[in-house]
Amino acid sequence: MVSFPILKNVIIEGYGMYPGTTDQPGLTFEFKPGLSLILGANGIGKTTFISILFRSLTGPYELPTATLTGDLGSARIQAIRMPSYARSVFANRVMNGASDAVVTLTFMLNDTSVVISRSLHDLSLRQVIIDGLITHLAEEDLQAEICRLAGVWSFGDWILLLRHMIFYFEDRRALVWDQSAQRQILRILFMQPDMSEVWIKKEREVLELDSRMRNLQSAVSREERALASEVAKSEGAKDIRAELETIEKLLTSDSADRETLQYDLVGIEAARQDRRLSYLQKEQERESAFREFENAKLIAIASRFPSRSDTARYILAQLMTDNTCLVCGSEVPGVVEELTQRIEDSLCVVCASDISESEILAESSELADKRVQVSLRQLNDCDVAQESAANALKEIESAFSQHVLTIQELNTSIAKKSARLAELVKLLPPEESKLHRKQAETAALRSSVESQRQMLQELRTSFRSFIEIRNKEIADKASDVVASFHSFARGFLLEDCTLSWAPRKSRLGETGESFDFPFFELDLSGSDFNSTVRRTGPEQVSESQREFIDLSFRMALTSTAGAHGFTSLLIDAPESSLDAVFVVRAASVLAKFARATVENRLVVTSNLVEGQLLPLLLKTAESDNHNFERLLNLFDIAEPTEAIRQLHDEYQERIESLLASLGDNS
Amino acid sequence: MNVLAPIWELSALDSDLLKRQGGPYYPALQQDLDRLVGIGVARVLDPSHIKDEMGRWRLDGSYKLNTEFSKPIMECLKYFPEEQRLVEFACELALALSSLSDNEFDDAMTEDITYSTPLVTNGNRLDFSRTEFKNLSYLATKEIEQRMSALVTMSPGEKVHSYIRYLHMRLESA
Repeated sequence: MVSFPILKNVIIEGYGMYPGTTDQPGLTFEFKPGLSLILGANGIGKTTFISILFRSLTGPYELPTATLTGDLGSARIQAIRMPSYARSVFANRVMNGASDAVVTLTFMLNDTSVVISRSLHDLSLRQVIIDGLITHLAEEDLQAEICRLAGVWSFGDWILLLRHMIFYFEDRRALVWDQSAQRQILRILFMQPDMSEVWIKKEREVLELDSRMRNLQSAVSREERALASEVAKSEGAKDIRAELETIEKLLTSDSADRETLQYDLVGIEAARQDRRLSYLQKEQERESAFREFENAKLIAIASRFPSRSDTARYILAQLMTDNTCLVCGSEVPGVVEELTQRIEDSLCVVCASDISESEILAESSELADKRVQVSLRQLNDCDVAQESAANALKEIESAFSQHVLTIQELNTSIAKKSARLAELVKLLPPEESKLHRKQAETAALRSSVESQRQMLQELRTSFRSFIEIRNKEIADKASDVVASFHSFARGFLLEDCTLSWAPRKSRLGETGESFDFPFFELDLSGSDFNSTVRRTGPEQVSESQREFIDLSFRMALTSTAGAHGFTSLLIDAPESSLDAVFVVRAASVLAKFARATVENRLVVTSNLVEGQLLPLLLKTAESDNHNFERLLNLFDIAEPTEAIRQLHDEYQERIESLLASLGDNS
Repeated sequence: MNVLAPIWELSALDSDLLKRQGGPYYPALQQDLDRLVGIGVARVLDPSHIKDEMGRWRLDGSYKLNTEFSKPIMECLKYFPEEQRLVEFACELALALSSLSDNEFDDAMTEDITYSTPLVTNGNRLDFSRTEFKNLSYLATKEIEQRMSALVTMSPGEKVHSYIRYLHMRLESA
């Protein structure tokens, strides 16, 4: 289990952006359990504040491609020392280069108190206090200690956790849709550090050998081309040389084609999996619509059956006419009256059983017919959708088969041509001994490529077995993640939104088959769909849905994978993507998360904006009293921007109005 | 209806049946019919209890629809293509069977070539759901259709009528 940092307090001293007040210079803030609100305006230092917290925890180390898109492969999650310009990020924002500025962050990690002081000039370490004891740890030792306390394998993993689980930066990767980032996060969260290490080592072994093998193969191809060229220049055996040249060209072309096709095949396979799933979903929906139609049909037919009272009057008419019994001819007015009364009292006219509850259908035939029409329309829609999904699947299956067939044909063709190439070189005149020697050397290199290919295949097989077991281990936790996600997403979104455990195929290296890596997929209903539809990319949902889904997913993972379920979550300016109505829902879910455990810390920064977000967040933050101890008002602490200087009164009025409204609401 | 249903591209209503000397008998169908009589949708004429060849009692009688209550139901069924086909088939079959005399009608069920197959003896199950089951009645209609194909294209209704006429000839020659 991973332990997430629980922020306790932060002190920023001597930093020009936060001069503080006369009574209390600098910035001091205590993160109490629950929600803390950092209030400011554009340019006043909200994001800087969050970044300082982040850098306190990472030091001058970063992942090389942390904020870029593209594959976050195992080779890229190694923390490296930041270049000097990047270490000066805070220094560059103030006049004096932050030469004396120091940040001191106190946080808990796995029940251990950690205090880290860093220079804001270059992020260098000033002091580390662990459980009250001053240590003299170097940066690398501190990293190892943090990894040990957090239960992660490497400092790269720690930074990845901070970026994806704790800090909610604007340039973050949307974890739900980012296959490579999600794979790494699931590994970190659900694997023990030693297992994580084995995982990465195995992954890297495959990648390194894949790379080595490809380089060697490329070198062999070059040698073979050079050999063919030399053969072409030689005097004897012109026919052989001509054929050698032709075969060499064809081989080069076939190999290039095969590589392109193999690369494309991975994409086609992923699309094939998606379309298969989509077809199964459509089939299920069609079945449901068909059963609904069938039910509506039966109700419509049943509504044409005589009602109980119709039947009773009919039977009565068969037994009695006027006051006469049609069976024996007796005058029995009392019996007629009694039987009529039974009908009125919803009793069976023959046996007097109470049939008021057993009336099969009270529905009118008109209503039943409307139901039939509606369900028939739905069924027709589903038929169209299913047919469309079937066609899409057929199309991709055909493309897939064609691709596989073409690759097989190319393999055969390449093998035949290579064999012929070797035969032809042997047929060259004996005096061309230099060429023969070169041919032998190239053959040895080719053999080495094949040997490495074989070894790579073995590594891949071993890694496949390894990853299958890891998938099963993570799958055991999947239902908890799904349930937790649902509980958060339900608060955010009105659409049906579900998470599914669905390992995804991904390639490791440039060659070979793909592997099933752990992955959660997202299904969401929409205005144009009867039921939920898989959303495979962030562009398939609205901006606010994207924020909600990403946040819900993080909350679900931290709740499920955290050692105690406790965590800190720092969100920078969530108001930008919310409309007025959804602000209320967002505030409610954020409050739910803040209060989900006794130790959760939720830090939200926001501009001084109109609407309900700030009052609601403030109300959540200050539920017990009104001394605003969970509010960090940067207007009081930070160096004002030119806009704030000039419009000071206006800003002040709005702040006072906001704080007063909180008092009114309580 | 079970054996001739494929002519209308319909599935057999029942997957199996107990073969009896007195002809096919469906207890569940009888109960449904009783309920229809009870609620006034059907009428029973000359009801009586009779003993079958095994000494078991069963109800015997003639039934007809009470149009007052059945008409809306039959009208409603016409809205739905599949049910409409079922109604058409049932009407065509009833019409074809009405060409038989009372005695022939009683014997027609036991003389049906599927029901009378010597491969299944009385007291055993005729299983329509088994893939190896041979619906000889349907095969007979196809054979008739094949022989007539040079002269005429037969409608499903004509196929039913031709099969009942074939049964009539079988009964006459018996």
